[in-house]
Amino acid sequence: MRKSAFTLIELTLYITLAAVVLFGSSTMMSLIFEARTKDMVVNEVEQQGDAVLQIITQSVRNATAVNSPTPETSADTLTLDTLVGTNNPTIFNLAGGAIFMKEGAADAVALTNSRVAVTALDFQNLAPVGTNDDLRVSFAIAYNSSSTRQVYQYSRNFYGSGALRQ
Amino acid sequence: MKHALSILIPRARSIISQKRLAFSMIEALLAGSLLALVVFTLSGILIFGQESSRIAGDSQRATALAEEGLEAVRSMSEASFSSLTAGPHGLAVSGGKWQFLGTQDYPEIFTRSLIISDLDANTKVVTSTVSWSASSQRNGSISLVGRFTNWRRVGSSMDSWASTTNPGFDFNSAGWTFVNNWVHKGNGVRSGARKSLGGNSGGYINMSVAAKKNKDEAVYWYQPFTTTVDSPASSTLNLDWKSITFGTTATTYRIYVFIDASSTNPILGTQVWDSGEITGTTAWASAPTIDIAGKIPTAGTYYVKIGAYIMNPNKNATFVTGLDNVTVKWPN
Repeated sequence: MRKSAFTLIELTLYITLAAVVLFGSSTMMSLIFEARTKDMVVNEVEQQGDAVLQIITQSVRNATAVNSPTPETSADTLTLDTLVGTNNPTIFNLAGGAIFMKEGAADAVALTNSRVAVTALDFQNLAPVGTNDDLRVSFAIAYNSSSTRQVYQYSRNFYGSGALRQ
Repeated sequence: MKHALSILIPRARSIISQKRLAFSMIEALLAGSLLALVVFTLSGILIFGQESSRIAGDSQRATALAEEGLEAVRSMSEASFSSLTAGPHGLAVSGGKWQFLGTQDYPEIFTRSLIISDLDANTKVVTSTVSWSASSQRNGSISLVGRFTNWRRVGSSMDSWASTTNPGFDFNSAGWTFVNNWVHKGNGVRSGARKSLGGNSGGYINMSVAAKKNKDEAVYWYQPFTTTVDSPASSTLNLDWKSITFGTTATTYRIYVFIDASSTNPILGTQVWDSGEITGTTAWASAPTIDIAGKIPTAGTYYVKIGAYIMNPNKNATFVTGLDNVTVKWPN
């Protein structure tokens, strides 16, 4: 008799404990998945923005001439000459929400993927006339998602400069 | 014995059985707690990891902005190295070019400051610091340091200087013109002449003024010169001078040096150097190297003028001053 009564209490406790643990676990799992998604969104925007910034500023530093924009002007396309003749001209521009790099006669290559959308690409040549070109690049990157959920909303503006070394 | 065992064993079994039940509950609690701990830890890692990604992104963008600060300084140094004045600076874009504005600038959430210090006359150390509020508990800060050298002015083989002509007056005073009426209130005789001996060394030019009591007199020599660069980093003037004849005490008796854009009489107060009050005769003395870069801001023709000014002599008297080794140097 005593064993049966004890088993019932035990069962009740077990069920209660299991419910608490399961509820807590599921809540935590939900938070974890949300955090993982946000992490992916943040990393996608930050890393692609930084990578593009590095590629463009490094290309400018290694360039032999900047054809466009000319000193003291700005443009939405950057045209460079490099030491490698077959890569001339090297062109950076924005098309369909992605930044493209085109070297010489080769096909244009997208520097950003479809998970992000780039806007407001701008190149400013801030060097005084007669001095080495100094290009300032700026653009905005937002995570590309049709969802309106907050977890998918993330955008950042990127700025960087590179001056010719010659 | 057997009887005793037959009583004790079932009791022990019963106790063990009951203890096992109790252990099971503790086990369940322990298991639940461990699970919760693991879940909390994992979720904490992910949630704070997400925060870390955001902070790392801000840090990368801060680095790009700090680099941009150094690139802007590089651009400005090429246009005009002398524009890199020591102290804190902010950046702004004006007229399609970088320029310094204020002591900081504020791109989005960041605060950027460029601190320039002089390592030597042709080298600047620039520290580009970007700081921001990384989270509610801590601030982020990134500093990049660069050194900028005025290569066009360093090393004798790379120097390209121009200078005024005939500095030593060893054969004549060609290139120099004497003006005897900068100030002429009395009727004393004023003259300027080249002397072949007695200079520092060889020839020299003099300024001789026979001043009347309480009458101001001033005379000067000048030479035009033409520069070809804007905002020269460094331009200098050197001269030797001597008070050869000291007539009498005056309210003021000094040698003045001017760099002017016009050939008209110089204006007191705009001089780049003066000798200080002359109270007697002196030996030849070299003026310290005078920086005149600020007086020749744009390429063009300027005039170096060296004069003697006697104000209110307390009696009629003659003053004679000698000049030698007069050189203005500017980058070409």
